[in-house]
Amino acid sequence: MPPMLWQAPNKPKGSRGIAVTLLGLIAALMMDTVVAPRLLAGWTGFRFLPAAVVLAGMWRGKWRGLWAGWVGAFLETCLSAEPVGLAMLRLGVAGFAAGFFKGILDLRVPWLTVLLLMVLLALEDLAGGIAAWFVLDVPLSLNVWGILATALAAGGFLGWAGREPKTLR
Amino acid sequence: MKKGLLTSLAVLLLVVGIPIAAWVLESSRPESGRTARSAAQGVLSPVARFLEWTARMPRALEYVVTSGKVREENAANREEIARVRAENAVLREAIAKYQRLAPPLALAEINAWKVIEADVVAREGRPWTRSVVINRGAGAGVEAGDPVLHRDGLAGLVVRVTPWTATVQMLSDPRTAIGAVTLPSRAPGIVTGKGESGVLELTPRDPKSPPHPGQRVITSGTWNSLYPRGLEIGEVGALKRNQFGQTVGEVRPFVRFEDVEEVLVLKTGTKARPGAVETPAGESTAPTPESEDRSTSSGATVAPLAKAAAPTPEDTPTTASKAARR
Repeated sequence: MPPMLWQAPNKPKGSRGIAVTLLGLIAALMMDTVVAPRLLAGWTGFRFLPAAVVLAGMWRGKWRGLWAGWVGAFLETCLSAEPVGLAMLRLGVAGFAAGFFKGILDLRVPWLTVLLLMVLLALEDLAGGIAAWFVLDVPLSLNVWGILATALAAGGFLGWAGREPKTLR
Repeated sequence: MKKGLLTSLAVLLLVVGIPIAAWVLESSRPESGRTARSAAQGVLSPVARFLEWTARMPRALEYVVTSGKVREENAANREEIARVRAENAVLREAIAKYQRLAPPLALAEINAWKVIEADVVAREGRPWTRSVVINRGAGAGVEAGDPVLHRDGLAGLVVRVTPWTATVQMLSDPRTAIGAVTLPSRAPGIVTGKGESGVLELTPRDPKSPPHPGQRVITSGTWNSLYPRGLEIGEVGALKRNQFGQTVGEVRPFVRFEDVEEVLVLKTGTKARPGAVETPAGESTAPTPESEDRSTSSGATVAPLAKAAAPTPEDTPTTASKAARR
């Protein structure tokens, strides 16, 4: 079985890795803010951008996960009225925390990836919620359905992308 | 002479008598002669059909000659039909859109506001931020601080502008605070977003006159407010006590923020303009660029703008209003 994009022998390095991460973040942001609300009658529950940050952290490590989170925060606040500091806080925390699980994608265990995604997306949501609770007096809440749907969709995508290729016999 | 008369009689008999005799014979015995006529018809029919076919040949030849052209015309016609159908669908959508926007457009016309029509292109919904991005920006005349109207009522406020797009902070954003009054009591208060899509909160200015369920809530439009007076916000629902023990009302907004597809950006002239003098009737005596340009982007004709004012802390979309409210 050939190694996939995020697996150790085939990892893009340097500018190629940055380009792949950046494109992934932009695609995830478009899914969150444009495509999913358009398809789902305005529902903005998906969290593909945080999921992309988390995957970047799992793929590249803590510090690059943090950078991915901050870049993702900048991109996200370009399309919303959210304070950039708040977005940097929650996405940076998620990307950095995901870095502690570096190499988990190499195991190619989809259910483990989905579980970790759910935990880290919940962490991201809670980080933002706690900060907003302190500053903006917003009641603390957790976007359970959005996190679940995003984790399953992202896990499904990773499972599909990492499936064994069909060969001619 | 006799010979001539006899010849004439013979001819008459031949011309008239034989047909009459045949007619009488046919009338009396219809079957007589049928066989012969059938046989003749059998012989003549192919001839007739051949002649008829040859008579059609010119048209057939014309079809062969022009069939290529006909096919081209058919293809062109099909394309034309498809194009017209597509145009029809676009026009139907435009009519539906105009019908949806008709109430706020009428409101803008009555109040002499310039309006800029815009579509939502992206949206973000987290408990700490509720915003959309619209496809009109500084290039179309949108400015930060412009109120944004939906067909059902007030939707939000423009907080950031780029040349082509603008970010609108919705009413449900927890940083939103608007001066409002309830109807019919006209008790003033402040409506704030709670981060939830379908719930706002009304804090009455006078704690002794709390709102009542079922009251309509509109913008107060104080002299220096960002929002003009009379824009509908929502309806008071349940009452509850806030952390300071004051009775506040939950407000169910008229606008379903998830459903917002197209909006109107209002140019109400509330930005401060040097030299403008307000008359008691609220009419500005200073000439304004807006008063010279009376046409709207949606085609509505409006009168000169009225108010000249600066934002007030009551209506700012920042956290300062939150702190002030506390």
